[in-house]
Amino acid sequence: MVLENHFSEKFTTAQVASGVASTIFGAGIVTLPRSAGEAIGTPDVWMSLLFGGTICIALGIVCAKLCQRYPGLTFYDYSSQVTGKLIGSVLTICFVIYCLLVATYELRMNAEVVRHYLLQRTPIEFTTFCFMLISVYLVLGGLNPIVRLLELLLPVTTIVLFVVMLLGYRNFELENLRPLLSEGISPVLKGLHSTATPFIGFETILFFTAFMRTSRDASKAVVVGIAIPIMIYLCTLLIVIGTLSVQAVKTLTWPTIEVIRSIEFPGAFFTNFEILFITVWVIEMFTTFVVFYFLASLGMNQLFRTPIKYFHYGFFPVVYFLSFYPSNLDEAFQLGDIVGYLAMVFAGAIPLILLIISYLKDGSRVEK
Amino acid sequence: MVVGLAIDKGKKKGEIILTNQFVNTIEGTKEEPGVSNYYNIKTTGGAMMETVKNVSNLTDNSPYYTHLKVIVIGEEVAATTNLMEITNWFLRHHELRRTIQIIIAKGKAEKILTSKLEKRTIPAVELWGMTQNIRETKKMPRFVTLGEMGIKMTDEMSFLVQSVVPLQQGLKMAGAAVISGKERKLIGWLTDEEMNWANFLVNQRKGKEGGVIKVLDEKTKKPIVYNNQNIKRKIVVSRKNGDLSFLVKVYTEGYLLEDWSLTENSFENNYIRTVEKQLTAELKKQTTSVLNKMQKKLKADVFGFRTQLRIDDYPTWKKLKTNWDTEFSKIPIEVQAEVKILEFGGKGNKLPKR
Amino acid sequence: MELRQDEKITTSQAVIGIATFVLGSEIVILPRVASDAIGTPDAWISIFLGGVISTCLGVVCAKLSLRFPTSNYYEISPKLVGKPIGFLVNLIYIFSLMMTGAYQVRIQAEVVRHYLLDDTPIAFTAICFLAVSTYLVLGGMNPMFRLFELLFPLSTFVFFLVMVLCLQDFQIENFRPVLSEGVLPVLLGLKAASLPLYGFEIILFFTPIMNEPKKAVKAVVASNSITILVYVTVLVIVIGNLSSEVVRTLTWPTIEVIRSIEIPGAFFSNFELFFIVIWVIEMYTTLVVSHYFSSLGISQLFSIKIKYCYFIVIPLIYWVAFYPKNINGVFSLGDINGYIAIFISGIVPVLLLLIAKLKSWRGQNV
Repeated sequence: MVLENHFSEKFTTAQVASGVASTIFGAGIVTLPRSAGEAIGTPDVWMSLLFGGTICIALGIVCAKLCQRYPGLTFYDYSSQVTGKLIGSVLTICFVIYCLLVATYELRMNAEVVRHYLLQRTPIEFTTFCFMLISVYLVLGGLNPIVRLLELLLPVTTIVLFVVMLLGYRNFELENLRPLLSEGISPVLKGLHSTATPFIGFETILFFTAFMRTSRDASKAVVVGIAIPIMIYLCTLLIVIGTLSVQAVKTLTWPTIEVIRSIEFPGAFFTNFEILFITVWVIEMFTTFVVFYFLASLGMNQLFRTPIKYFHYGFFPVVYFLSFYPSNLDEAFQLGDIVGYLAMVFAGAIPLILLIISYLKDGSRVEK
Repeated sequence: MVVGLAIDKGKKKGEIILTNQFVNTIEGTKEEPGVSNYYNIKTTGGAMMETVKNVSNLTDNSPYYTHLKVIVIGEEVAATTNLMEITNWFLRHHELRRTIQIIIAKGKAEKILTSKLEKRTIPAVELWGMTQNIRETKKMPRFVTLGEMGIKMTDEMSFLVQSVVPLQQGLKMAGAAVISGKERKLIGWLTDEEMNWANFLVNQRKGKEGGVIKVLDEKTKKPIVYNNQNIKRKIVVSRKNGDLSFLVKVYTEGYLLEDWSLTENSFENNYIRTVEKQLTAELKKQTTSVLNKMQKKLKADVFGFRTQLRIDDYPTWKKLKTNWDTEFSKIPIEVQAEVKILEFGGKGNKLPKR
Repeated sequence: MELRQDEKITTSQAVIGIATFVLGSEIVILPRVASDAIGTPDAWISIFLGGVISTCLGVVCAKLSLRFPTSNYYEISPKLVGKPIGFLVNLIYIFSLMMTGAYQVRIQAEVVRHYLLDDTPIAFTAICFLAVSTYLVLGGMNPMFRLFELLFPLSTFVFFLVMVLCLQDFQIENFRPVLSEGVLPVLLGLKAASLPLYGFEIILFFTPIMNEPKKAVKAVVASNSITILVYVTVLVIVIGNLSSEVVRTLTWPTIEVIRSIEIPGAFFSNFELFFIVIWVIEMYTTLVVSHYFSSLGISQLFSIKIKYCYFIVIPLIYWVAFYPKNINGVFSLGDINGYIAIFISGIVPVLLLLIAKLKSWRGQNV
C-alpha cells in the first residue's frame, strides 16, 4: 500500500462517525430550507427530510458493505479491481472531478455568506484565498490530523448549532407546520432529491473504512455519522419553517441565517447570534472542504503514483479559479444543483452497482 | 488654530476677502450656552500672504495653519482668478499641508463657514468630514487635496472639485465644479446627478465602492436599485486612417439591493440577466450624456483620456497637448458599459413561485 | 600613516562608511535636479546607468588603492606623478571634501529653517551641526565608524518605511510611456543623475585601514548598490507621486511627497519629521567623513598635528557654506562641487591607475 506511510495510525469508530458527520454538514444547512421548500411547496418538508435521510443511511450501508469486502483498500483501489483497470481509472477520475466540484461549491458558498453577512467590502477573492490557505495547510498534514481535527470540532459545532436553533423557538409557531400532508404524499416524494442532497459526504465512508481499526464497524459508523446530521437538519427545518412559514422561506436567500438574525432576548445587549452561527458554520464548511480536497488529491495520487503533495499544491489554483466560474449567486446555486445530481450518481448509483458486480463475481468464483 | 479658510472676491478689483475659521479654545472650559466653539475673522488684501498677515491686526492669536482642514473657494473668485495664483502661497508655506481639502462653494464661500449646523459642530470640520464620504455616495467627486490640485494645474489637466452649497440649515455637497486645466479657472458645474455617472468614467484609485444605479423596470415601472461595489474603467485609444477615437470600457460589479417589482425572482439567473441589461443600458446612456456635456459644452477632459493617449500614442499626444481640451472636444468617444450583479442580498423574491 | 594599529575597520564598516558618505543632501533634491536635466520621467534609467558607471569608477579606485595597500589617496598621488602635481591634486581633493561638507551644512540649515525652525537663524543651526561633527571627529576613526554602523541600519529602515507609506498615492501612469523621447535625454541627463553617486573615492582612504584590504572591491560595489537602490527608490516614489513635470516646480520634492502621507483615521500625520530626522543624520555622517579626511589631508600635506587641523577646517567649511547668498547660490555650489567630484573621483583615479600600470609595465618599482 502506498498509503501506509501517510496513515501511521488507524481510526476509531467514533472518529470515523464524526468524520462522516462533519463532512456532511456543509453548505446545505443554510440553503436547505429554501431549496426543500421550493421543491416541495408544503410544510411537510421535514417528512421528506426523514425519508431522504433514511435512504441515505441505506446507501451509506451499501457503501460500507462494499468497502468491507476489500479491507484496507480505498474506493480508488477496488473500483478497478471490481470493474477492470480501464473503467476503474475512469471512475477514479470522475470521482476526483466530483470531489473538486463539491470543494469548489463549499468554497464559494462560504465566500458568499461571509460577504453578505460579515465582510461586505472585502472582495471574495480575498476571503476565498484565506480559506484555502488554511485548508491546504491542514490537508498537507495528511489524513490523520484531518480526522483528529474533525473529531475535535464536531461536538463543539453540533452543540452550538443546537443551542442556536433552540434559541429560535421563541418565534416558533406550530400553525406554520399544519396541516400535515395538505397536498397528499406526492409532493413529499417528489421533493426527495432536494432533501437528500444535503447529505452529500457520507460517501467518504468508501475511503474511511480502509483506515479503520475495526472495519467491521463501518456500517455502524456511517449510520451514526448520518443520524447526527439528520437530527440537526430536522431541527433546523422545523425551526426555520415554523418561524417563517414555507411561503416566506422560499423568498429568502439564506433562510436559516435570517431566522437566527431574528433571535432577540428582551433586555439582552447581545443580539447578533448569527455571528456565532456563521463562525460555527464556516468551521463546518472548512471540514467539508478539507475532506473533499484531500480525497481529490488522493485519487490523483493513486492513479498516477506521484507524491500526493504535488496534487495538494496543484489543485490550489484549480479550485480557486473554479470557484469564481459562477459569475453570480444564482450560478453558484446552480453549481450546487449540479453537485447534487452528481452526488446521486457517485454516492448512490455507483457504489450500489459496484456492490452488485462484486457479489456476482464472488458467486461466479464460488461456482468455479 | 485655523481649521478652515474661505476665499471670496472683494469689492475692489483684485481684492481678496479671507475668512479664517478659528477653533475657540475657551469653549472647551466653559459649558455656557451661547458661547460658540468657533469664531471667524475676516480680512482683506491684494494677495494671500498680505491678507493672512492682516489677521494678526485683529486678534491676539496669530493664525496657525498646521491643522487647517479645508479651503473653500468662492464661485466668483474661482471663475475669475487663476487658481494657480490663489493657491501659490498655500503650496509654498511649510505650515500648510499638501493634504488640505479644496472645495468650491456655490455663491459666497464665507457663507459656508458661517452656516448654522444643527449639530453645532465647527462648519469647517463638518465639511471636511463630508468630503470623505466618497465611499458612500457617488454624487460627489473624490476629494481634491491642495497637493493634487497643484499637480493638476501644473500639468494643465482639467479636473473636478467637490462643490458645496449652504442650505437654510446645514450644508450640502452638490456635485462638482469643473476646473479648466488650461485657464485654471472654474468653467462650469456638474449636478450631483451628473456626478453620479461621471464617477464611473473617472479613474478611481480610491473609493471604488459606493454609489447606486436606479432604473425603472421595463414591465412593472417599479424602481430597481443596484449598489455599486467596484468600478473598473479602461480607455482604449484607436487610430484608423489617422482619425483618433476613444473607447471607454466601464465595468461595475455590485449588489442588487432593492427591487420594488412584485414579480421579481432573483433566484432565476434569467431575471438577473434582464436586470443587468437594463442597468447596463441606463449606465451607458447616462455616462454618454455626461461625456457629451463635458466634450461639447464644457470642453474639459476631466476623465484622464489625455493620460491614456500619452501612454499609447506619444507622438500624437505631443502634437495635441498644447490645446488638449479643445482637441478633446472633437474626438469621437464611444462608451461600452457592463454591469454585473454579484448577489442580491437576503431576499430573492417577494411572492414564491406557485 | 600615523594611524594606530587598533584603528582597523571591518569590511561591513567600510561598506557603511562609503554609503553614509555618499548618501547625503541629494536625497531631497535629486528628483528635481534629475527631472530638470532629463525632462521625461525616465530619470530612474539615468540614475541606473549612472550607477553602473560610478560602480566601475569605484572599482577603479579600489584597484588603485590595492596597488598601494598601505598608503591613502594623499600618499598615492605624489608617488605616481611626482611631488608638485601630487601636491596640487591633494589640495584640490581637500577643497572638494570641504565643499562637500559645507554643502551638507548649508542644505541642512536651509531645510531645517524651512520645515522646522523658521525663526532660528541658519548660522546657529549650522554652527551646532559643525560643533557636533567636531566632537565626533576628535574621538578619532573608530568611534566614527562604530557610530555609522549603529545609525545606518536605523536610518535605512526608517527611510524605506516612509517610502512604503508614500505608495498610497503612487501612480504608475506617471512613468509611462517609457523612453517617450528616446534614449537621448536619458544620456544627456546622465551627468545630473549620477552626481549624487560620487564619493566612492573615499575607498582610497579605507583600504589601508581595513582588516581585509582584499575585499575593497567588494566593499565599494556593495556600498554603491545600496546608494543606487536608495536613489532609485526616491526617484521612483517622488516622480510616481507627483509626475516629473510637477517635481521640477518644487524646491524640496522628496519632503513634499512625504508631507502628503496621511493614514486614514490615524491622528499622527507629520511623517516628514521622521524623515527629516534620519536625513539630517545622513547629512551629519557625510559631514563627519569630509571633516575628518580633509583635516587628515591638511595634516599630511603641511605636516601639522591632526588635532589642530580639525579646528582649522571648521572656519573654512563654515565660510564656504555661507559663501552663497541665497538658496540658488547653494544649489550652484552643489553643481560646482559635482564637477570637481567628476574630476577628482572620476578622472584622476583612472589616470593614476593607468600611470601605475604603465610604470609597472616598464618594470619600474612602485
